[in-house]
Amino acid sequence: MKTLAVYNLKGGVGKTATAVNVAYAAAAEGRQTLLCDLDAQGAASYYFRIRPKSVSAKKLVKGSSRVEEAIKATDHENLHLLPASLSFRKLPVVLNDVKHSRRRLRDALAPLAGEYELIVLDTHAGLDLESENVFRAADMVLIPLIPTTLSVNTYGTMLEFFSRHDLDTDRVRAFFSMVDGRRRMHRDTMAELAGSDDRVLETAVPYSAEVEKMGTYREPLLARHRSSRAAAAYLDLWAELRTSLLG
Amino acid sequence: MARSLIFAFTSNASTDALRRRLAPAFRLRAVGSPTGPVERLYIDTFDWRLFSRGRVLYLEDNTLVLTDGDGRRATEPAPGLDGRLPCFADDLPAGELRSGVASVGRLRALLPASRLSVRRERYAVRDDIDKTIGHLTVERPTDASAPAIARLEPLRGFSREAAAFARAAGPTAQAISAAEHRRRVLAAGGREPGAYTTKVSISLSPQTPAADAARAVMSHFLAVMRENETGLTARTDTEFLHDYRIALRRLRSYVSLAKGSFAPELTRRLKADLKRIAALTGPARDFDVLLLRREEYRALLPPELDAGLDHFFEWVRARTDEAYARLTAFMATEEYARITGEWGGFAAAGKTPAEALGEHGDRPIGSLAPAWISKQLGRVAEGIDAVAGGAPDERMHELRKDGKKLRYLIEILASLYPPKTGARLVKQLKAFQDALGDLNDLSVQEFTLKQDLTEIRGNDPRYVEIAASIGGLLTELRRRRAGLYGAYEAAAARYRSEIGGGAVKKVLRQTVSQGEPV
Repeated sequence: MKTLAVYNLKGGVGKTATAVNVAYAAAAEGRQTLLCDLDAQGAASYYFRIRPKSVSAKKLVKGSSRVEEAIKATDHENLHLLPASLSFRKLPVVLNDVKHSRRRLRDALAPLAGEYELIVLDTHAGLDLESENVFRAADMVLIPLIPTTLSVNTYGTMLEFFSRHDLDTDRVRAFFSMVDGRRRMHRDTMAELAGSDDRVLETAVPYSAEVEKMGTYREPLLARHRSSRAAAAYLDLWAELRTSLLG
Repeated sequence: MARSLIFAFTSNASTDALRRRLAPAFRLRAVGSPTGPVERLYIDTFDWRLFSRGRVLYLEDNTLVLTDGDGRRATEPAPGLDGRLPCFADDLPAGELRSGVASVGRLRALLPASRLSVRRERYAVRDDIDKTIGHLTVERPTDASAPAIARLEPLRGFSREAAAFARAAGPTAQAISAAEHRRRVLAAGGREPGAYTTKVSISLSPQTPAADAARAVMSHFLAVMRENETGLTARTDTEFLHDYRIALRRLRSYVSLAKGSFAPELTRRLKADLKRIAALTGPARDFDVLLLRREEYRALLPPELDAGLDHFFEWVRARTDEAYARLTAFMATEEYARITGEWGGFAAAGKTPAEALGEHGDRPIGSLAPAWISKQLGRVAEGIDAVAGGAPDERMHELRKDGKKLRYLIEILASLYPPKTGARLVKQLKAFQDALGDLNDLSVQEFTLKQDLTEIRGNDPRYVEIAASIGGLLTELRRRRAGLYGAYEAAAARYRSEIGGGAVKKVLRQTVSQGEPV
C-alpha cells in the first residue's frame, strides 16, 4: 500500500480536484484506491455525493474508532472514500493531547494495507500537527502550485518545514496547477522553478472551468469530461506519479 | 461488506409499483435492458447437504455457481452439466467450487432439485442526492404463479441506507431471509428442503400403548425406506441403499426388542418379511463398501501388487452388479409390494386391531421402556465381559450388533425422556461403539476378503495375482487391528463405569410426565 498526500499550505490551489482525479485515475486502472477526505469542508466527499460522516476525531486518533467502519464506496469501481467529518477540524487540538502525536494518522491507516493499493489524502490547508501527521503517513507528498511568485515562496516554506522536522524532502513532488499558458508570469515562474528543482513534475494542469464545474455535476472530471485538456493532464500527472510511487 | 437483502414481491406487484413506494427517498435507475428468460437449475444431494449448510448450488448459462450464507460465491464453467446429472463432486472441474461442494461429502450424488426460468432486470438504487447506495436485481419467473424476487447488494458503507430501503419497500416487496429464499427456490422442485433426514425423531408419549408406539416406529422407518427406493434401484449413489438398510435395521431391531407389543404370529410374520428384504440388501451393501475402499487399499500396498488389486476389484464390481440386480428385481415383485403395502397400511391405521395386540400391547410404553433399555444395557455389559482378554471375532461382532441395537432403542424412545437424557446416553455409548467399531470393522474386512478370495479361487485365472494382493492387505489389516485393542479396552472400561451401573437405570425410570411428549 502506498499513501499519496495532496497538500499545500495555501488553499484554493486545486488540492481537492487533484486528489479526486488522481484517485479516480488510479482506480480506473483496477487499483483498489481509498480517498481520505481530511478537510472538514468536505469538498471531496461532496464531489462523490457522499454525506460527511460523524466520526469522532478523538476516537479516530486514539484508535478506538476503526477507520474501516467509516469507509464508503463511491459510484466508481475500485474507488472508496473516507468521508470528511466536521470533527476533523478538531484534529490538531486532539493530536496535541496524545502521545506519539506525529504518527497517529499513519497508525490509523495501517490496518488498510491489505485492502488498498493506494491511499490518497486530501488535506486541509495549513501547517500544524495534523499536517505533520500527513507528512509522516505519506510515501509521497504532492504539492499543487499555481505558478506565481507567492506560491513559489510558500513552496520554499514547506520544504524548510520538512528539513527542520527531519522529513525526507525526496518524498516531495510538486506540479503546476491552474496554469494559464497565456500569462507570462506563469510561463516564467514555471521555467525557473522546473529548471532548478528536480522535484517539479513535467505535467502541468491547465486552468479549466470544467474543473470548477465538478461541484455542479458532482463527479470527477475524468468521469465526466475525459476528453478535456485538464482531464488529459490529470491522466498524465497520474502516469508520472505512478512510476515513482508504485514502482 | 454489507450483506445483500432479498425481497419477495407480494401479489405479483410490478417493479413500477415498487418504484412508486420508494419515491422520493430512493430512485431506481435501470442498468441495461431486461434480459432473459434465463434457465436456472438448482442442484443438491438427496439429503440436502448443501442446503443444510446454508449453501446453494445452481447452473445457469453453462456456469455453475456456489453461494454460501456469508455472501461468498464461487463459479466454474460447466457446459453440458445438466445432461450429466446426477454426478458427484469429484466430477466437477477442479477448483474452489468443487472443494466447496466436496466438503459436504463425496459419496452423495448431486441431483437436480428444482428449475426456474426468470427474466432479469437490473437497477442502480439512488438516494435523494443521487448517490448510488446499492444495486438491485429483480428476477421475475416466467411462471406467473411464482413471486418475483429482488436482491439488493448495498455498496460498502451503505447498510443503513439499505435498511431504509427495506422499510420503504414495505408491503410491495417484503424482505425475506437468505435461508427462506434458499428454501423457496429449492422447494419449487416439489420436495421440502431439509425435510429428509436419517436422524431418528419419533414423537411418543409415555402413555402411548406399546402397540401403537410400535406402529409409529414402523411408519417412520418404512417411510424412510420407501423414500430411498427410487435412488436405490437407479443406483444413483451408494447412500440410498445405506439409508434404506439402516432404516430397515433399526426397524428390525425395535421389533425384536419391544417384546410383547404385537401378537406372536403377527410378530413372526413381520420379522420374516423384514428379514427377507434384509437378506437381499446385505450383499449389495457389502460390495458397495468394498468398492468404496478401493483407493484406501491401493494406498496400503506396494505398486507391484496394484494389478492383482485391480483384478480383484473387477471381480467385486461384477458381484456388486449381480447383488443389485437381485435386489432391484425383488423390489419389482408382487411380494415386495405386498410386504410394503400390508405393513405400511397396518402401521398407518388409526387403531391397532385387537387381534394384533401382544401381551403388553395395551400397556403404556413409558412403563416398558426402562426394562427394555436396561435389559439391552445388560446384554452389552455381558458381551464386554465375554470378549475381555480376547475372543473369537464372531463374538465381538455380536457385541457390536448388540451395541447398535441398544443405541437404536435409546434413539427411538428418546422422546419419552427429558431432551438431554437420550442424547447423553447415546454420547456415552458412542465412545465405546466407535472403539469397538474400529476394531470390528477391520475384522469384518479381513473376513470378507478371505471369503471373497475363497470364492475367486478356481474361478479366475488371475487368482495367484489377486491372492498376492489380498495377502498383502490382510497382513496390513491385522497389524492395524492389533494396534487398536488398547483403545477398545479403555472404552469398554468406561462403559462399565458410566453406563453399565445402577445410576443409569434410575435415570431410565424417569420418563417425562404423563401425556407430555418431548
